[in-house]
Amino acid sequence: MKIGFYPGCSLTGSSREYNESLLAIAKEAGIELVEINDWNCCGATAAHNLNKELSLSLPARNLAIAEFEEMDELVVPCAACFNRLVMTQHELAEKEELKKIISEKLQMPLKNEIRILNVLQFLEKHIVPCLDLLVKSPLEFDVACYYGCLLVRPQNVMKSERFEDPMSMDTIMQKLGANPIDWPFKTECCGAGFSISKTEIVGELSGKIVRNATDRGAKAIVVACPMCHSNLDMRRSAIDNYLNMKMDIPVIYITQAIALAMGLSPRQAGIQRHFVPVNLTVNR
Amino acid sequence: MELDIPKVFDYLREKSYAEGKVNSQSSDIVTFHKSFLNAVERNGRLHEMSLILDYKIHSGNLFQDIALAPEMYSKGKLHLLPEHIKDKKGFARLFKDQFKKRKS
Repeated sequence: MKIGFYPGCSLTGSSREYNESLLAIAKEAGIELVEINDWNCCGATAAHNLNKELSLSLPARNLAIAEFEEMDELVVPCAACFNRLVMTQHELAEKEELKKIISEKLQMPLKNEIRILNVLQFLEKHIVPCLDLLVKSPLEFDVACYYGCLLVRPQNVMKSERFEDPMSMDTIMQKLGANPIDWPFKTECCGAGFSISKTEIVGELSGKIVRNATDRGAKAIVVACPMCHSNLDMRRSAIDNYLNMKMDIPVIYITQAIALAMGLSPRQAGIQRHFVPVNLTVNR
Repeated sequence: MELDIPKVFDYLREKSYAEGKVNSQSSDIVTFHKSFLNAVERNGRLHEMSLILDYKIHSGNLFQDIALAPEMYSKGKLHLLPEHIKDKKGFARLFKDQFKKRKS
């Protein structure tokens, strides 16, 4: 099976630790992820807010390349990219004429049939079956699993069974030895793409998430989205300003949690790139 | 009949932008989105440094996050130079005429 990999722009820049930790755990599990050739930005929120055609043609170009390269699956770790690729595939599947127009614009054939996996679906399918053998340093602490908006919504497209209380990340964290807390902010919005244009909104929305996780005793917030991570970690000063107190809880990617549990070093997991220091006790 | 509210929002955002009727309270948001697409159009991929510079110039928020960029750079999260895709000609076709009719 050829597993394609679409990193997206964040994973080459501000979220490179997500990329590093994902590739590190895939290597430990003996899984090859093949980066799709000459991929482009998915357009993110900017395209679907300002230009409908670009919001479809930008993701569709990546889908067409992945199909051309005969990939059986396409792993998309960024939740925003995943959302845009799946929404495009869904819309073009519903509208044959639109698919034809986009395909002509791309000057590439587009079957629109490739299976797109978000990071949690990839982990469940390819990494979780290996965990019993690979977990060497269980993470024996309380964690708040934070899914955000884009992995579960819209529910009719994402087919999420529990879109208000998803459990897939919680189940993975349990397998790593951690104790996922029960909390009501799993799928609340962090402020998403307002990080630069409306930072005070991010401070408020992310502040409520960080405070609730802390109040319920979590030692870390675990995420699967670069935007969620940067809002909860890099925007901590805006959060502290909103809450009027300093919050110390670290935010780690699910792939970093797995890397640490596999016994990889914090540096291999990219922990040193975080703004909020990560001081978690891992049993070695 | 089910109404797809996010699609209605997207339609109205696109139309208001094309007609130059952006609410002043949302101008920074729209400027950010346009700066984002400008950066993508140039390179095929988002170069975060270019996005920040473009946004600062067009929004006038020159001193915003002034302390953040050096820390991001020191943590390896900001690249000075952009990555380019190879198929520049094919990619440019996707952007051709997309914002041509906009009223300012």
